[in-house]
Amino acid sequence: MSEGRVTNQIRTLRFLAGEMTQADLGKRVGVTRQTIAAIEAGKYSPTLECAFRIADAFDKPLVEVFGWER
Amino acid sequence: MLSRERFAWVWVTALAVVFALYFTYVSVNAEAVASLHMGQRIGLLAMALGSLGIVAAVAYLITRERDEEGRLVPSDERDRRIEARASMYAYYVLMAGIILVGCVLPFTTGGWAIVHTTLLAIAASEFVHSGLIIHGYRRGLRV
Repeated sequence: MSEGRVTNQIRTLRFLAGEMTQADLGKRVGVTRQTIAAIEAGKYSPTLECAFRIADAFDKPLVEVFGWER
Repeated sequence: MLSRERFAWVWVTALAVVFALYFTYVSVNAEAVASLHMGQRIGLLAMALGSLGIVAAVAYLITRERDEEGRLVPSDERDRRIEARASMYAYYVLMAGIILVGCVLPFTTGGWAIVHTTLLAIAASEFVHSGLIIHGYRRGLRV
């Protein structure tokens, strides 16, 4: 199994979306504010569906929101 | 801190306090406890377990989280994954305890030793369950 971790651009994208709050994003995605905070901090890897929902909330493709760092 | 983590803290603390008090009392006053009638001993145990039930109910009422419209906040995928992992490991601990209680102790001891070991097995699995919930929220959960 290759070692690595999921990275994300959620903080930047929230800023670019007019300083969207974690709670607002959580509401759009259907998770709690704390879960968005955990994803943003790299403490939780979201399911594929949740990742797609987050990307959709920013109107971006998945690869622009999430990445894989070796 | 999330309500589920707060509840896990309260629950694990209550378990530790109630079981420590109960087992300390039972072992320090072993002779007095042994001379009690069956009903009194069951009453003593019921008091300990009842107090745990009351703590759990009060903790749930205090720690449950509501949104700005006053609705209870439902669990999301992270909560469910943390809960599933905690339940899985707690189940293994409980199974080990049940095997000890059901397959070993009846041939080596009996009576209240079996009851108390059963309680300890349940307490151990609850400790693992709550501990892993706290760990999941504190340290994160990565695939």
